[in-house]
Amino acid sequence: MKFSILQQDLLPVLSSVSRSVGIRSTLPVLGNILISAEEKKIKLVSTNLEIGVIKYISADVLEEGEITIPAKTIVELIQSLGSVKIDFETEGEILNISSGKFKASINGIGANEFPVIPLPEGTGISFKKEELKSCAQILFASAVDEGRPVLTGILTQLSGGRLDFVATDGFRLAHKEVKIDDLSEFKSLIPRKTFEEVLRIVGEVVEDEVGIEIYTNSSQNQIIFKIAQTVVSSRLIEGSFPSWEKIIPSEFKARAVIDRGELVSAAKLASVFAKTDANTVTFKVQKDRFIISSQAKELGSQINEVEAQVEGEELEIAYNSKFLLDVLSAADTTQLIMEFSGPLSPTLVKPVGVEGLEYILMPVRLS
Amino acid sequence: MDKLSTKILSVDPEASWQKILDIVKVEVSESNFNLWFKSAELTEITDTKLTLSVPSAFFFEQLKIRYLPLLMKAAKEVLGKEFLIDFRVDPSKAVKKKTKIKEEEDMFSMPQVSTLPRLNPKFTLANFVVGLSNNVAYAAAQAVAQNPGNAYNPLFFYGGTGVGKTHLMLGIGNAILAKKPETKIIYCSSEKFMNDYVDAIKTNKMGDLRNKYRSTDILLVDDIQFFSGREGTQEEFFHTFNELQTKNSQIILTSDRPPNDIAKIEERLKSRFQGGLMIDIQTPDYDTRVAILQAKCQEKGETLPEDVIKAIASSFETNIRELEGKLVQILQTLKTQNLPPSVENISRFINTPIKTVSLDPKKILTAICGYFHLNLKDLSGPKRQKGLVLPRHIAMYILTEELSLTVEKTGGLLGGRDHTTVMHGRDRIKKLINTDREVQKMVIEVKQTFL
Repeated sequence: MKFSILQQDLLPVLSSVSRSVGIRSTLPVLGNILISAEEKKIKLVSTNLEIGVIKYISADVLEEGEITIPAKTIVELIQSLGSVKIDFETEGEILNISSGKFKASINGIGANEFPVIPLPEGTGISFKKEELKSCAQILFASAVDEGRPVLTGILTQLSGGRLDFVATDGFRLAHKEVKIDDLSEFKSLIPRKTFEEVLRIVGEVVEDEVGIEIYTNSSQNQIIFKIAQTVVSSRLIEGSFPSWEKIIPSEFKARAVIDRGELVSAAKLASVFAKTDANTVTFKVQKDRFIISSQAKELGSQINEVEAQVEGEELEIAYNSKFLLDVLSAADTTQLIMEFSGPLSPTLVKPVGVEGLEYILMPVRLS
Repeated sequence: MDKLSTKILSVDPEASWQKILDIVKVEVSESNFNLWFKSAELTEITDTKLTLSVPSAFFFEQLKIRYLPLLMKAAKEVLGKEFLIDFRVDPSKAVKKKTKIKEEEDMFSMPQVSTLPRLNPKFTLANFVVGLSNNVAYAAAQAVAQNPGNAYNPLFFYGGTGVGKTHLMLGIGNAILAKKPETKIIYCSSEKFMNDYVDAIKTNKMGDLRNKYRSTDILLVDDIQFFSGREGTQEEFFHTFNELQTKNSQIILTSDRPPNDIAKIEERLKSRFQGGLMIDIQTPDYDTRVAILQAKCQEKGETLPEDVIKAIASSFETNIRELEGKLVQILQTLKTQNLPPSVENISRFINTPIKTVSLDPKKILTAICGYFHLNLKDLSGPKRQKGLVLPRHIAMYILTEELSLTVEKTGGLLGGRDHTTVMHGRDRIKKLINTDREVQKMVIEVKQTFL
């Protein structure tokens, strides 16, 4: 294998790929990046057997071939070289790197030891990258705790021309809906880590108007994303997601329009005293305002008022301040609509002016 | 032909897969074998085809593209003819055993965040490893979980640290909650009860405290020995105890010693603690330790060979918490250094003694005398010749600094010298070590004779 490439072209691709190497694997080759020179381009691959990432980049290839190199070593090396042209050449299981007077040789492992990444078959569905980007606003709601594995995944469901992304940990739920021109159907649970990585890769794409394609292979329980010059292949989570549609309230007893910024600062103030038990913050929903109070036996208490336009009946409801703040911070618009359907029923939160994004917040039972 | 096919059908897939693995094992590197082959399983053998189930598409691709010829060769050797090999992805294999997948996840629940802290779900009766040292306690726990309030009330566990008292107690709580989720359970340390009591007095809210503790169905109090000497708390607890017992609410207590040995506890409380069932939990014996290590490995999704587990179990006769700590340390080091788990690789953990060697002051004095060619009589005697004074001071220094003996005791060992004399000698050597090369050398050499 022999090729040359500019450092500034290689580095971003290399660091992006290196995020998915298997750090704590018993198989040393998983800590490596596969570099493969093909006609006029090189391919960089990493995998930890949960997720595999393949990236292509054009280069001046003189001789085709492949090798795997420890990710840490190569990333550190390329980072420290300035913007120069770098030559790569393999010699058995050694990769020689040279640029001007600098020469390095890195011990690698043969490419035939490297796992094969499952690739897509058949046709996939495609949509614009902006639509996936906005899914970052729902990630926070998925469960981190492995106790209920199904909830550590993001439900991705296509049916009737509608693509739904849903994340929940049982206490709150976030839902993003995208309309697409595709009448095929599928349903899969994407691991949160994969979703985060895909969003990161989407964020790194500089070109506008880039389409994203998704392929699933249900018999193999695998999902594949194609994003510009990148392919991400990931295991899916097995199991069935709770029937989330049922939880979204269809009618409400009170509806409030409120300034998000003011509510965030009030919630932050309230959280100072919402430290014990369930981090409880109490809302009294009245005609033109919320009265927000919290107290902790040891610390003290606070009370505050936030202006709101409320229609419907007055009620009192309590939330976990952490979950409340998570939703309020993710919503990211100037105004919010909150729909209450009772002190013990879920509250619907919708950012005003954003299509297809909604949050469900479970109240805390007041003792 | 018919006979042949039935014969093949009757072959046990598991046994055949073991034989195939034995062949594969010598052909590939150990880490490759452990990763790719160990998680696969032969699920079906038909006339012409073997079906392997693998955890994910990564495994499917790897085995199909890299190892298919090898697998086919091995299968032919074991089963006597050529087979096609088919793969099936079985995602449930990718999930670690501890998190079993439910058929349908529950609907959303109201967060059960009432004022009561939830019990740590990690501790269940099912994952409590039963052995000789704790089987009585376990049986009692089972009985109470089956029949709370009636079997043994109160149930009192006592034993040293890290033997599983809290685990059993929470295990009972979790078992009862699993059966009847609406049961009101309070779990608290004795310290929490005390603080609540103090707070209640301060804020004049004794009523709230009583309501809270006396309305519960199950009361779990950890480390009851800390009630020692807290008279007010004891009185409050006494009344709580009585009220709960009259309405048949289960009470479970733990302590590091039996009620009779807890100092400064009122007699009426002691007798109440003894009124139910008291069980002593001992530190685990060897077989139990092996079982515990295996359970912990499984819980963490790791595998260690049996000889390694036995080596760990036999070298730590400590409590379970320390045993687990050691296991975690070993697993982590093996992982970060990429070492295969073998007895050699873990021997350095095993050989580091947990306790420091306790030194006998008499032996040290003899060693000092030996080094300076003196009699013990002279060293501890009243004479104050130059040749005696320095060794004597060195002895004072070593006894107080290295063995952390008190100055009084050191004085006693050295012929009944006053503690101020010892302090002077100690401080003199402390200073000299930094200034006088010769003294420094002497102290180091003396220490080497007994360390």
